[in-house]
Amino acid sequence: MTVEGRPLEESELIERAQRGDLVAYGDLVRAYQDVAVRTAYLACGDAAEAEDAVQEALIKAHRALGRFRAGAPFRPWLLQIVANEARNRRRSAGRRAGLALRVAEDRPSDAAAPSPEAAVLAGETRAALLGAMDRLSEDDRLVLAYRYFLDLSEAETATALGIPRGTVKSRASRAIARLRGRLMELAS
Amino acid sequence: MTGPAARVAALSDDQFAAALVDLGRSIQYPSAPPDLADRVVARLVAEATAPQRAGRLGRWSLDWLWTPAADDRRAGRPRLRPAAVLALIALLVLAGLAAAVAFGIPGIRLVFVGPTATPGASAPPVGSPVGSLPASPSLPPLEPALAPGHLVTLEEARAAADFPVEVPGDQAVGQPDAVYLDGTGAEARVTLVYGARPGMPLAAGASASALLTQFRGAVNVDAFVKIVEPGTTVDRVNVGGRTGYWIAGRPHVIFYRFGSDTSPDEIRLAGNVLIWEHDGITFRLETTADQATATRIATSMR
Repeated sequence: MTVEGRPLEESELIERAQRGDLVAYGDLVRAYQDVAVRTAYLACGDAAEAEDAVQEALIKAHRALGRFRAGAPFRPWLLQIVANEARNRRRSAGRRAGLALRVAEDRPSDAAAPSPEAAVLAGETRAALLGAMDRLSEDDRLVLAYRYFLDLSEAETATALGIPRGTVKSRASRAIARLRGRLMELAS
Repeated sequence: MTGPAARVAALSDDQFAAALVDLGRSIQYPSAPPDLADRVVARLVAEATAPQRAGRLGRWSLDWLWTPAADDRRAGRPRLRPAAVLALIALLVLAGLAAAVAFGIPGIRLVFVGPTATPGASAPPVGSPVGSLPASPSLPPLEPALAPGHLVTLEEARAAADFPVEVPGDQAVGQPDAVYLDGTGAEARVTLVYGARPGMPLAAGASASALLTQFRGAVNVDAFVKIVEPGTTVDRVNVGGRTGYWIAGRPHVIFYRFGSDTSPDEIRLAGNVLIWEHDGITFRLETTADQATATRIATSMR
């Protein structure tokens, strides 16, 4: 069901949802469902699992809504619950951590088509990076995925990963150093 | 040592970051299922219903519909609505209505039952506008079953209620033909009754075209509980900058409570209902008018 009319401010939707307005909560879900599925997919690496994780996380988020602090950013708060759910599901399913991601052969939305050589080069770069990221620890992989793939801010990444904000930058740079190391291992 | 991996490993920090961003853009993410929000909301209602179902349904006295407010303020969970009301919804769900959606504004919990509801579906037909207004501005009293309280004057209602009783300023509607009062002070509920107006024919079998009720929603939490059957639509509408809900179709049953009194309440006029809230006062306009007219009346409240 959709409810039409003037769009509500996010803070108003949250306040209504906290009072038990499920239509408002549905609107919040619609606003964040895409980034939630992406977040879950990065954390669990499986499309069907990501979808289930998001649905479960949205139920848990509703239960936790009373603890959401008014005025705090909602997106990272929600994404933390999503990421936790996705990681827990992947662990309990006994699958190894890994980015079983589908990567497009061609860059999806470049204005000018790359030359064949450039396309090959870009494809090789992506394959190499993906292979190396697969060999990172989950913590390293997710801090890079959230910062560089989802374009979350440092503060959002910190909330989504449940780590202190001040440590995101150093974690990300250490993860990049280790990623370079994995690339060297793959090359040798 | 050559090859793609070695080449990527040797990229500068900026190039490396750009390569990561590029990789992220090329990921073919699954998309969220289009009905995800509906599924989540349906599950929330179903889960809230399940634990209270057993042992409650047999008691048909209406007082079980209401639980002390403290009961459902557990552990920071957002309040849904009295669990027993959900048990009633469970009956409707068991009767073949598959899903339910609920929302509230202060003083109102509207429970929306059924998967077939589609916003924008046409409202039930309303009669053609009545050209000639009744000669007398006053109405015959509503039948006792319809009477929302006892008959008073607007001044008496204003004296009894501890909130400013508003009336529509809309010229086409004019003054109410009757005023009913139920309760006093913070628990007062004032209902303005209107006879036929342009675009507002009398409801079938009733001597009114509109009932406009106002009460202090913050006090009378859960004053109205509506259980709406499939085919009913809910639209969010703008009432002078505030959110209202236009409920069109045929609501199944309404329960309302003021103070300790609980009554089942059929929709009196078989009309559509606009609910909105302003400064802590909840308004409910049940009318044969269409959405545009109802919204115009609501916006003109002074």
